[in-house]
Amino acid sequence: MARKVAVVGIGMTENKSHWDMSIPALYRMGASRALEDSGLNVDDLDAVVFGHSPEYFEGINHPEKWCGEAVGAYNKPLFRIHTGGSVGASAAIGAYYMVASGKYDVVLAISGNKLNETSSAQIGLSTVYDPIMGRQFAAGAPSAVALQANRYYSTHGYSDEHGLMVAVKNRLNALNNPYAQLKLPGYTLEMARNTPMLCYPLRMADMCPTSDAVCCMIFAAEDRVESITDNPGWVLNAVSTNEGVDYVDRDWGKPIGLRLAADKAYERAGIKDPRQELDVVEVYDAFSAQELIWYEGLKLCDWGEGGSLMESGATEMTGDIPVNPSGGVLSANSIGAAAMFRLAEAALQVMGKADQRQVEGARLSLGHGWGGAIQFHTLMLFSKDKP
Amino acid sequence: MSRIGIAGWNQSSFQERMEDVNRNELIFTTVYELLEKTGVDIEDIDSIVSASCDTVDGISISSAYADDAMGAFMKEESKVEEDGAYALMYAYHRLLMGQWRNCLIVAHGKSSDAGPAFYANMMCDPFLLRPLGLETISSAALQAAAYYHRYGVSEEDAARVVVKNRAAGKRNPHTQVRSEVSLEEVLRSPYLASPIKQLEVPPVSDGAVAVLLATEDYARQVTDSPVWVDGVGFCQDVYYPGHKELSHSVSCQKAARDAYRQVGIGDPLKELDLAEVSEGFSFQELLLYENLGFCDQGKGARLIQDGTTDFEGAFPVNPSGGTLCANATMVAGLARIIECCRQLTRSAGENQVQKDLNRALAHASSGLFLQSNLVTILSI
Amino acid sequence: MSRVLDWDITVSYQWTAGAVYGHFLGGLKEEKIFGVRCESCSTVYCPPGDVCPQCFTDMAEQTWLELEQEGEVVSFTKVMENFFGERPSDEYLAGRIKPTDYSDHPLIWPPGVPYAMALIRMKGADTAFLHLVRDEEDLKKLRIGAKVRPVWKQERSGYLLDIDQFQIIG
Repeated sequence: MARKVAVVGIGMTENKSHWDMSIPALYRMGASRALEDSGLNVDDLDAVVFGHSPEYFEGINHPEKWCGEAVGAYNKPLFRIHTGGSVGASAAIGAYYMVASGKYDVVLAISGNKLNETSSAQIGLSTVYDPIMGRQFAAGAPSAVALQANRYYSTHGYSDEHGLMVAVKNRLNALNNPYAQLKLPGYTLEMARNTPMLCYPLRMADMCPTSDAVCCMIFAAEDRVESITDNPGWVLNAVSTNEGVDYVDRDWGKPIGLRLAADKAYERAGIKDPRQELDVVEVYDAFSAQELIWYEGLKLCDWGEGGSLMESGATEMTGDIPVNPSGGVLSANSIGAAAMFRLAEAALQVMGKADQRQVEGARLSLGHGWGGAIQFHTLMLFSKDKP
Repeated sequence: MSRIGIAGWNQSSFQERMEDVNRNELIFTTVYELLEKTGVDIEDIDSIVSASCDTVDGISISSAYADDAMGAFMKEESKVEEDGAYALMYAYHRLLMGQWRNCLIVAHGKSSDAGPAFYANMMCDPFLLRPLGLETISSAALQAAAYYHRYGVSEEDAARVVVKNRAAGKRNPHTQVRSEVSLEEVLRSPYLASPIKQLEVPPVSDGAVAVLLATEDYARQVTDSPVWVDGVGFCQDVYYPGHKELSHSVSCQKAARDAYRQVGIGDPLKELDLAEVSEGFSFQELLLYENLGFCDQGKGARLIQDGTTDFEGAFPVNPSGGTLCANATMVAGLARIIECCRQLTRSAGENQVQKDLNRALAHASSGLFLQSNLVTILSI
Repeated sequence: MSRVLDWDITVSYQWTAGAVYGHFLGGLKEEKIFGVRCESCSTVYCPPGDVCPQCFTDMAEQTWLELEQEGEVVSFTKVMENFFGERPSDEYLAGRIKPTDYSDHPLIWPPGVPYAMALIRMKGADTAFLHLVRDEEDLKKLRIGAKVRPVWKQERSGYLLDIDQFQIIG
């Protein structure tokens, strides 16, 4: 049976253009901050799970080979996971599984990207599209998400206003997050509405910035946790699913893959009513409209109710189910680290270490990431109390 | 804790260039055939871990579309950007958690789609290595030169590996290069990057393989002879070639030691019955003998001189022909595991090793200069 | 009938060298070869990396040493064939390296064959430095243990190939 596992250390770099740091140096920063946070040193690590997204962002194939020693994997077990935007979470999940398996006691998961090494991250993203049947139309990620947003709004009678509401909420939340890139004090709906329309129905306000960043999480087995920290974030469960890309009757506004992941995660953790039981949620909102869709997939509301949930104010910091106190991916997107930031932020919440963005009394949290052609969904549930 | 075993496998053919199927067709066929062979329905697959590389495929997030082709619709899944053997390692640890009954592992690589030289050169850091034009052959050559110099290994010793593996490949219907070659022919072949000669280099291969890994209960429902994964060790050492001693591989030593420790093996040559290693280049097989602990450092050549590692020898190594006969990027290491399964279940047909077989070692490698190594111990 | 789709993916990069690679490349621009010593284990790295693998120390905070410009060949290979095929377009090759002073340095295609790559241990360093030996006569004399020194380009820009090649001196 699976061992109990907890997060014992978290390290984050700021999300911005790290114009003065090489890729390995940025990775080292993330790893050393996590080690410092946990009080561990590299010798304590049993293995490393290295996440990094499309090579086309930096033009380095298999960057884990170059950067392994920069994250403490000197003559140690290391392997690389790559699942697109969800890679940060997949890497964390990988580390969690390696510890839960019983074979490794302390495993470091690290993930990141330096999107500013290329003049256009969108060219790299356009290579996600199948070369034979889709690349000719590709306009990077915005084109795919715009399709998703449009579908969602028109199906449920919502409008781009709802996306803008998410944007304003998250931009203001980001002001509390020292690691976020986009900080827009005094941001309002009117300001958001006045930004240029880039890829209908998405405006600039609805989009994430391009960041360089690394996030790092250290997972430890039950019997080691106590000797490392008296404030761990216990992992209740982790799930990663694939929905499929080109399946017949795919409704881009209805993420059945996310719902599958959520069902499994809640069932395994014994959660019957996520809206009531969860204290805080961090979702991967690369584009504002997505957050509304993820509310539904995660059962924070029913199908079709995402826009209404936003309108109700329930997901604001003052609401009963705050979503993205960190400002979300909308405020910082390095792609490689973005999903791990969601998990790390969720873990920080139950550990009571989220500083200015702390949700009072949070004991149960969820972190989410998506990747690929919006078909990979990853979740991790954290608890203050040992399961 | 349940034992974890391989309940089925399938290999596509390995070819220098598959122009009649695209990547997804290749993957679909490989997986479909595995399901047919094992009688397992895709609905019954609990989880999937795939292995592929974006730069080989020319598609970012290479699993995004490939997943459709491997039946990963509405399934728990993940992907490693490593050889399939690493995907199996990850799947193995996932199954140990007890949350799933099985995991389908799919590895693919159409190495001919992108030039292998570019693939390797792109692994080089842009400041110190890339401008020199370093890639797989030149990096292997640097390592070979260091190895020969340190231990007095001759080019002839290395060439013997090619002769041995090519002879074995001729018997193996699943491999790509199926013709023998003589020692003279190898030694006479032109230098590509000294001391590596043309006939000492692995072929470029397109291919895909799929493996069904499962907990004991499930595996026994599917097959009478599951092949057990007894232990896995893996390790990565330093990156820059000048920062380490090239005549041996620390990561290979550690990976092997870790695997042996998990299984309780003290003397691999005695306690294992055969090995399938990802030798890449001729000389590397000798280096691997030493770093996998089959013999002392510098003594690898002896094992081939005295016939120990021959097909009919006391400890056959690469009875499949190894990667010198088929080398699909991201696939070769998992293909070694499959070849061990064929041997252990005595279903290897024309390339079946005759002696008693209970336990085998499969080795996979990744990166230049044998930077990362993974050792899997299998038993029947 | 099967069809094959030919495609080139062209993406341009501006790689950040950062403090450590930047210092080393900056040294090459000044005709200097630097090593860096990890104060935890005293290993002198040439060339450097961002992190000492053994100690996990940040090499940007360690001690830089200007090394004597002589080294010994530890291993080498003579590359006889061009593995990359036809030289791609300049556009394809265009990459820029950003050391700390932001000079632009295009990526250069590997030299014409035959040429040798050699791992050279510079005097005072504990690690070896991969570079080129190209001179025809030197290619005949090249052996492990040969003593070599760098041949500098006239115009240097803070790039690995500011050293045109190494030549044998003994």
